[in-house]
Amino acid sequence: MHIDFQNIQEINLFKDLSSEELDKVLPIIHPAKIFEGERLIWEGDTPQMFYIIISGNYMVYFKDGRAFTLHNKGAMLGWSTVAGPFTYHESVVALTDGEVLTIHVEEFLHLMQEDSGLGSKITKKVTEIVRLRKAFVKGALTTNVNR
Amino acid sequence: MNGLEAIAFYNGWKISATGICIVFTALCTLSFIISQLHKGLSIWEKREEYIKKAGKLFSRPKKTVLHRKIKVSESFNESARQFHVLTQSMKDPFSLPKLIMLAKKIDLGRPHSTVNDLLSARLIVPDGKGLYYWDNDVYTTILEKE
Repeated sequence: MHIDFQNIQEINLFKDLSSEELDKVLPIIHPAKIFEGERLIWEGDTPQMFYIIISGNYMVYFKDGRAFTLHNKGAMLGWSTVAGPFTYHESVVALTDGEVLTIHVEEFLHLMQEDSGLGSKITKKVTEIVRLRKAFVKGALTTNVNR
Repeated sequence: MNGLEAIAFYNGWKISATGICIVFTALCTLSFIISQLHKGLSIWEKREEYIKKAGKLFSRPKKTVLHRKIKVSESFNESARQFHVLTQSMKDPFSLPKLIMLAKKIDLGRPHSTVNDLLSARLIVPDGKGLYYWDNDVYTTILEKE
């Protein structure tokens, strides 16, 4: 899969970035093919990657049996890589074949530290996603989590 | 005893007053009925409409089923049947990951993508709290199409 500016700018997380900032982000983004039934994230593991959905359908689930599904391009998986307490809060499995963008957490945090402007823009977006997901984790899902 | 005296003695005045009251009341009632007769007739003419309205007032609101165009294939129907049996063995609302785990245990083919198809077809519906339920109305619609 080819990644370019246009592909990346369509993703909610990177929508507000300038072309210079996107130049910095592009090298740390790696596309990956995902197969049906493949487990991307295990709840309780130390996060090393987070994922952005390009295509496919994914189920995010918790130890208590609750789950929600994500189907939209740009939805983020593994947000706990960038928000404390830095362990995966959920497990994620692919329901169908698909494609994701993988971002290594160390590279991502390094980039955020290097460029504070870029960091604050991304943090703002991540906070939005985390707020929605945390509401779900606490059992108070009232809003759409497909973001 | 003759004339007015006799009338008074035998309660003639009271009897005639009562008679006048009865006749007057009857005439009033009759005129009221005649004045409202057109309304009654229009209700009679539109009786079916009113019966429907009254029926709606006293009947339970029916759950509206969204009839989406669902692509159904033989294999999908078979999978739907198998997963329906599985969901029946679980407590309602059920856990989606547990359903997949159960399907894996009994070797149902491609449980992940089947669950995705069932979600797309709205046979499996989220309850908004992280659990799911089987929509029997949609299931019946699919079975009827067979």
